Amino acid sequence: MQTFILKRIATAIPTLLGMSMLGFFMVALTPGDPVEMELRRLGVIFTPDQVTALRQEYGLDQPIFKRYLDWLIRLLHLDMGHSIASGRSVLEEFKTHLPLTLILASLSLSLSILLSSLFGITAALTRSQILGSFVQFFSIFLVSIPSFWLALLLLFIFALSLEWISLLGSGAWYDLVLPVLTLSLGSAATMGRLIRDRILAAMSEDYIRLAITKGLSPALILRRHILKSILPPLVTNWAVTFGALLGGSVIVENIFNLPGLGQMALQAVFERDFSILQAYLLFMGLIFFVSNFIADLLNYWLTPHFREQNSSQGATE
Amino acid sequence: MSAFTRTLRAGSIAIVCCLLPLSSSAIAEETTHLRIAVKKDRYSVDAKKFSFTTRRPSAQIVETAVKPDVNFKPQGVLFKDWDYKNGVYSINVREGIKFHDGSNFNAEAAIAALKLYDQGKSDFLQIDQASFEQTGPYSFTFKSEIGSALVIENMTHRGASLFSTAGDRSKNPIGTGPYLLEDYQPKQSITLKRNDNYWGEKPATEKISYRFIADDQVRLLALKNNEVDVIAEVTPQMMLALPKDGSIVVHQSRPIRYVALLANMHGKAPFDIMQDKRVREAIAYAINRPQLAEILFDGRGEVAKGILPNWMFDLGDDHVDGFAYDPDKAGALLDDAGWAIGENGMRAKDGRQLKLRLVAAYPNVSSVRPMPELLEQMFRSIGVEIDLVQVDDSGVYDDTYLATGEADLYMEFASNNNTDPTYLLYNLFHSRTPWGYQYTAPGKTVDALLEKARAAQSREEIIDYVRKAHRSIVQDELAAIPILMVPNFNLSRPGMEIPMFEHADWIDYGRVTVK
Amino acid sequence: MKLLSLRTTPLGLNTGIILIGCLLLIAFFGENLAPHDPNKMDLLRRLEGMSWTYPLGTDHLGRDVLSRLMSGTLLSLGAAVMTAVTILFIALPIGLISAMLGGWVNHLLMRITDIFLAFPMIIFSLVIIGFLGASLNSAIIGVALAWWPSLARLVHTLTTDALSKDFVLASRQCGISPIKLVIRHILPQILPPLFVVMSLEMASILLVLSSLSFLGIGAQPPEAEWGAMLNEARPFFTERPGLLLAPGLLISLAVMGFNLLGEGIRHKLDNRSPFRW
Repeated sequence: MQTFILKRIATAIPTLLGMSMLGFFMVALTPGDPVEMELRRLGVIFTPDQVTALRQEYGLDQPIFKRYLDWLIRLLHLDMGHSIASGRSVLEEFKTHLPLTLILASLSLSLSILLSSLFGITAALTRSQILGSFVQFFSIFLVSIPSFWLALLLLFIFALSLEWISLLGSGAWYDLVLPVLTLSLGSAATMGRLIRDRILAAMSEDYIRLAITKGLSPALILRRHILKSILPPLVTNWAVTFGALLGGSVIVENIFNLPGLGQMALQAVFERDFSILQAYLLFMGLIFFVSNFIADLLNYWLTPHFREQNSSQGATE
Repeated sequence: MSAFTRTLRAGSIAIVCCLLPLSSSAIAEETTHLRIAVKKDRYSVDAKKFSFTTRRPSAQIVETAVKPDVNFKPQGVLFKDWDYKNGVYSINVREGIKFHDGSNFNAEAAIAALKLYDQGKSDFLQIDQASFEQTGPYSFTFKSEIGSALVIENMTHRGASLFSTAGDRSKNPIGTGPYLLEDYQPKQSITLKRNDNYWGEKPATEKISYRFIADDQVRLLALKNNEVDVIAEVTPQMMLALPKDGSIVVHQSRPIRYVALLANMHGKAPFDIMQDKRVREAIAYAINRPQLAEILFDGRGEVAKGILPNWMFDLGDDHVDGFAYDPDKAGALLDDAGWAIGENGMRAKDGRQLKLRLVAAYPNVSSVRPMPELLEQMFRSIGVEIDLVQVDDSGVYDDTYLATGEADLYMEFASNNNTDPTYLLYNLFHSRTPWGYQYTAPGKTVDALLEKARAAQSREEIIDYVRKAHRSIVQDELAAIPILMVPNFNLSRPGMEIPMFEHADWIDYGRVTVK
Repeated sequence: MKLLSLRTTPLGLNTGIILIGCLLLIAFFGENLAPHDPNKMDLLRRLEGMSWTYPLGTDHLGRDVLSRLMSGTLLSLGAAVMTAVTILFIALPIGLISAMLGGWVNHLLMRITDIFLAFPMIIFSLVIIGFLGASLNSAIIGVALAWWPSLARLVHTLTTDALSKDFVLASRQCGISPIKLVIRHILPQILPPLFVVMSLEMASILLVLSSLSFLGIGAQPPEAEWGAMLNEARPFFTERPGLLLAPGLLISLAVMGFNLLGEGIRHKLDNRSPFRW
């Protein structure tokens, strides 16, 4: 176990470094001088000297590699600089925006898992042709709806026509119903299809056929054999989905006026808020790494043969 | 569920809980609580460009020395009166004013506040910091760093508000104003409560909440849904989308904002077409201003002759003539310039298509839409092809199009919001423009007029030079092709009175009344 | 037990083919068939409802919605195809090279794809669009740059598989040049599955591009791209909900078409039949 963890971390370090570098350079090389922009936005008459001085202060006059190294070193002290737009520290900005997006993503993931299990298992195991094709078709339909359109439709129905839910949110839990629904329906459909495919694939394995012909009950087979073989890819999928939800919430946050991480990043792009964007990209990379890491740990713990680096599914009891 | 709700409240959607029982009941209780929707949170707490509570929306916690009166001349607020002679400003501050923490506002406090202001990089007062001299408990003198006669004019900016130096102003700003900070949720809302010890006339509204709603559509829907009372930042698209049933009322100031096309006067090929004055004139004659005025802004915009409103600074508008809608004349001008109409109805010269790049980016795309599309159609009808570039990013605008001169026309929707009459013209059209408009600045004649305006020591003289420069820019050189003059708008439900003002910072929401 | 064949493939695949076929027809002939000039404004007839002249009504500038939808089909689908081609253009060589050369090159390239994969797609595209300025072209480049790694990995896997086939090994030992090897043996093996995946990816690409246009950083008005039309229609959505319904529905149908097509072909290729109770 320990060697597994250490190995994972060791291989992750170069990736993380590469990520930080890509994020940093991509943002730093973007055209648009943040200093001039800020001064202009203030409607200020500024001289070239002032611009130079300010640029010096932000360290923008340094060669880019040195800026990157400085940034890395400061990162180790959790100092990610200050937002150019708000003047507050990047850490504070994250504290303002992160909780909402985390809650949103976690709730959406939970709902997706719930719905997708329902969808997937029904679609795979049902004997009713009508129900089966309905679930199939419905899931394709859900995958195909653009989330922003779904969000607008939900908003139109529930906030504007029925007035069940307030548009700006009232601080109550049900503010998140529509955003969570929007985010989870699509990913639930994708996941449900994955579950269905995996179950069907597992059922075509010989050992399952054997178990079925031996007369074991479907529930038992599902729990004992199929679950075991479909969980690892599912767990990995959940991890990926969580990262995607965190990053993909930008549209939903935009439509439902939620001041989450996505809105922060979108604004930062427009405002050339370097420190925020760089920290955001690194953070998303970290989330990606951590959630995958957790998924691998879970898989490691779930499947004995994973430990022996043996990925064949032929294990029987 | 309760733990979850708590997390929500604490961590994320922390919205001022007391405004929850919203909707119509709040109105019934005589607007004691006004909810105003504004764009995104633009406050900065950085000491070098501190704008917390002073930038729009102005929280009225701190006050300025002077404010613009109806003619955009400075009128005393914290300063009782002032005098400018031989390069020295002599100030008498108003007596009997106290900061929110109970300390006295006097000459010493005013000097301290102006020195605090000078720590910011956005110093447009340019006061000589060594020149402050206290001449009495309520009087002091200072000089301009650059010998300017317009320092007091520049103090009408909310950015030049006078803060108390006590405490941490990024957390709890202390001022002399009619409101106190009650709650601030970054990027979500700021709530103010009335200062019952205010030195002046106390406002009627007990509590004001500004909700930051970045998206224009959501702001409009929130008003329709009764979740806010007023929309303070209104875009042309919102004006087009107003319901016809009178459920939303438009409040307007006098016209103040100009819609204009700035022409690239010095561009390198292929952006050199506008150097020909005949092309600039053709563009000016091709715009159907009356139609635009009728359709856009609920018919409340006016055909523009210039980019400065005629009522401002007693400028008048006799010094400019404007341009009529005359597509035939536009066509003749283009023919004359050698741009002949081809088979497809588009113009060309020596095998080169008459194609102009029109960039619409200032202040941002959502604030100008759908004007660019409408203009495109008008120019197309005289055979000018338009390559429309819409940028929602002023950084890209500055760097990619403005500073490089890589466009033919720049559409801007802006205003002079400064009581310094030279402010807009100088910054935009002087060859040494600090804002990056080198390519649209016409050149020596205008430079000379603007420099004279800045150096002039009497108001009449200043205004006279401003008129001359203005005419040169919009009529003779056509560096700016004026289109519309547009009022400042607010939206609300019926029955509300909003004391509108041209400069959004100076709308006194404390005096909003409900019938 | 024979239910399966009935309920999955034919109906879905056929629906997909019909949907995509119709859209392609509209894409190629829509501009000519459209009843009006899609960009012609009639400012006196703004936000009109359905009528004989304007079957789907007019938008906020008095343009015919139906004509815009029809002429926008080419733009919307074309943008997605362009993106897919760009992705393949980057992913194919990288995947091939890393699989064929192996060793440290492979390691490095796969590490690089790891790095790219870690960033959220939309934001990554956003930053690139920030770089290039908002336009449909930037959106295509942005999405392609964010998207290629996953495809490169797939190409890598497929190529590794292909390389392990006996006849490939044999021809390799005969000293066939790498370029010939790729053209003769590898591409024929990896392209069919790749195209199935691309059909499914097309669905997602369409979604992402229209999302970007919806956010106002993809296609710019007056371009009649579907996402941009939705963005333009948004302020008028209480007045004329129809303005929002039509483009959204069309995007959904197009995405669904590609999904059904991809799924259908995949099922055809995958002939394992699971045991049914």
